[in-house]
Amino acid sequence: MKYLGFFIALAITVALAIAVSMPIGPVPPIAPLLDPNHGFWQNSYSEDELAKDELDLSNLNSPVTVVYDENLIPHIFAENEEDLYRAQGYVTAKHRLWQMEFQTMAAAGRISEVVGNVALELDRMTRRKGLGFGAELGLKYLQENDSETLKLLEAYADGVNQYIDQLSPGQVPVEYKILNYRPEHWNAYKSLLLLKYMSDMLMGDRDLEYSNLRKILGQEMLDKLYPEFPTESDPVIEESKTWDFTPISISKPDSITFPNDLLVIEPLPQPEEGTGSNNWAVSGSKTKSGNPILANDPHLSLNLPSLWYSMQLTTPTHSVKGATLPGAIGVISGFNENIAWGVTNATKDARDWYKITFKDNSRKTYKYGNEWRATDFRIEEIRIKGEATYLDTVVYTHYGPVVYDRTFRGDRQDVNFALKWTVHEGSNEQRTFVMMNKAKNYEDYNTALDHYSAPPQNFVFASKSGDIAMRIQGKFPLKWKGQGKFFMDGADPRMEWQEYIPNNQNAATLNPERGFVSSANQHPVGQSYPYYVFDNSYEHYRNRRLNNRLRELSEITIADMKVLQFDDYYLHAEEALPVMIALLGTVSESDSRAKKYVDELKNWDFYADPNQKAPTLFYIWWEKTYDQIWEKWSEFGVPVVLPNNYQTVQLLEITPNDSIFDLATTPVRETAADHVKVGFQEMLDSMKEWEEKEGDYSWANYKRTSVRHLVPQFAPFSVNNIYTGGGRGILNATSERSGASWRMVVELGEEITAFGIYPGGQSGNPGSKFYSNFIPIWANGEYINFNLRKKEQSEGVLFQTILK
Amino acid sequence: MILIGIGSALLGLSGLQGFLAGGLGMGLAWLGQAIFISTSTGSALPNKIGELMGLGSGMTVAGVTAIIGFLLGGFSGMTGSLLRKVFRKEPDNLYRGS
Repeated sequence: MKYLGFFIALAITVALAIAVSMPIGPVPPIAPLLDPNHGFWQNSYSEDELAKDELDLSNLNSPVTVVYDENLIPHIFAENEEDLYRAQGYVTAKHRLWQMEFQTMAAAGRISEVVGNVALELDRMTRRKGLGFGAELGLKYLQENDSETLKLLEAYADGVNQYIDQLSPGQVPVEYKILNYRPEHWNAYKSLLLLKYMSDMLMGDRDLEYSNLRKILGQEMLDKLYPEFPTESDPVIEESKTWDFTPISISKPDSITFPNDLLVIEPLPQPEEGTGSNNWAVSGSKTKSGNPILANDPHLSLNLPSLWYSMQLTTPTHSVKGATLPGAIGVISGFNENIAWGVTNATKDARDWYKITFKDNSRKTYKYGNEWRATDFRIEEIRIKGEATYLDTVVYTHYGPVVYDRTFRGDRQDVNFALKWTVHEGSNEQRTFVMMNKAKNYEDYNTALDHYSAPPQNFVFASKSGDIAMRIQGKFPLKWKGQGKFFMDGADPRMEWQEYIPNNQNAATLNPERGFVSSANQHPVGQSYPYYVFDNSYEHYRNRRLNNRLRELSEITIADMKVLQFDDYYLHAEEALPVMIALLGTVSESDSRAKKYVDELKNWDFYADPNQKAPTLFYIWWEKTYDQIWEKWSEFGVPVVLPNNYQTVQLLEITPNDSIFDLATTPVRETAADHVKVGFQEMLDSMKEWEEKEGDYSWANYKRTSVRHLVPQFAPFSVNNIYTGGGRGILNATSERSGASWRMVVELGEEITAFGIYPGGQSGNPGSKFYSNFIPIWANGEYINFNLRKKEQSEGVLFQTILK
Repeated sequence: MILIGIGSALLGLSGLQGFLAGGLGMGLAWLGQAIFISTSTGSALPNKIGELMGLGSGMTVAGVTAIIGFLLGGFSGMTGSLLRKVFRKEPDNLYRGS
């Protein structure tokens, strides 16, 4: 009897121990998660509570000192570059390990390993886009051409790995515990993959949609509704610039035929709407102090942990501070003791599609001119948590991977399109940033940029010696007019990219007469530039507002530049609203709500401040009207892209009776006024619902800006409903889910004064007080001190650690 | 858990006593640690985990932590004391002779 009792008790104990240690479906093992000694409780400590005076880091040539200021920004003081980047790896992993790993797994198409089958299609697409292929070529390029930079990347990886190896179970980041997996070792390949992932976040194309539009509307209508240059031109490189090089000649082959199919394939996801940025620099001639001032705010999806991680990196020869990308070496947007630089996205179609004609179903050869070329098969093994590995076969041509085929996003057997993308080519972005971090003047800046290919960026520059500059840098294929705007025929060698625009012929400017340089994702150049420039997504509002303000201002101070970064003037509303109100006509006096709204709109000063109500009314009215006008195009049944806001406003203003507004399905002939009125009515309906449910319709409350954790299901780790103004097409481009992911303002005087902020916090641990503490500061348009620190400085030190 | 089992065996407690001793020991230890961490750090994490697990607040999570600790400790303790009982020789010669 006693044996029985014992065995039953033993059995229950063992069963219980197993049950609480085992994952049940998506739920992680509960006992390890709740164990106060090893589980999430251990992640409740903030970094200053866990501070150590000394930490072990092998393979250093000499000890490295890391000084944390009161915002937990690490300032790394090393004796040489290898130690510096080894320490950068260690320190970055210490604060942002989960994020860097998760992002690189997303780039590798390995999310299914962590969350299971639900991410399979996402992973397939990532792999088919060839990001891994591009990173492999990047690694090979470094191995063959730049062992110096490779060595630094490997030092960084070693730093990360030493951190991972010393992790105690309690200190493992909480997301690993909840998702029930553990970190892997890092390597140089993963750093390169991360940079390819950034490229993917910033580069897109609408070749598919344009191909469809050309077939449906015809070339003439296409050109009318989607002009390649706007009527009001305010490009990045000032209109008055004269080009001082002899352009390489390129002529369009005669009688080329683009594939003329109507394409019902599902387009690849584009960069998130709202991705874009501002940067500018003003020369001493326009500032109060006589020193140049530089400002940069990249706009991206707002996530937690933040994409950017602030650091200072110092050796005996250079000291640089700014925003870094966890996973990559160096500072990406920042300044040093001599210069400052910043980046905005320079969209210019560097991603094209070629229709592939296979000889037969085996897909072993494809037509090219008069011959049949052999293909390569790459088998992607996608491991899935809890299930068998999925094998995806991707066919590679000399153009690139065949992304769309019968097994992926194509609805027809004969759909085969290969992707040609500059991201697939060997490149060395890391070298650019390592060099830029050490640059002392304009020549160094240019030399650094010569190594840079993707994603193309507008690099703004200012130096202590007084220079300001802007260079649009990327690897740009030299195209004939119209090339790459539509899907091209892969069998026709005349459609190939012929060569690349040489670096010294990329659009750039130095110390222009107007006394400032700026970019806000608008057209890079005016029509005088000798090469073909095209993209669908050029901005028309932020650039004009920015340049108008910079032209008007004089005696500029840092405070003026901070105000400008936070400017929420709604230029689109200023231009569209009077037209809409005129087309609306008189509003019936009996409808008190309608009258109230129209009065609010008429009295509006066009600022999208968080507490104003008119921006909400305008925004909804415009969206409804815009949808009304272009709704008929959804009937095409194929992916298309709609004319942008700027074009639509032009149509409403200049040709309100144009046939474009007519709906063929109705017997009546509609004009612009009809759509505006319907839009207004729909706005009234929306507002009625909103006021009943929510009450307050002030702009911040409607916009509901939120910064979300990278895993959307972890809602408690996100920050929602942030009280802040701005919006799309506004300098403070903060919409519901995207906005200024980093803001920096630097004045390059004898003493360099710098300010920075981002919506997040230095810690990637949701349990730390440093996880989201920057958000309220950022939301208010405020900044923290970002001056360079010296090692001996003692004020404002949170704690210090020596790595040896 | 194994240590609690051994401790119980060595102390010679009965099955029930073993269960309670082990359970309260581990349960209270876990609860105490959880509360200590929560109050000394002032971290929002227990509340966030509570929301994530659908339990509500950090206090509830601390409670569940205590319960799991109690169960694990309890069954370990009970197993240990019953193990000891297995090896204890029952006196079988109480009635000797006449």
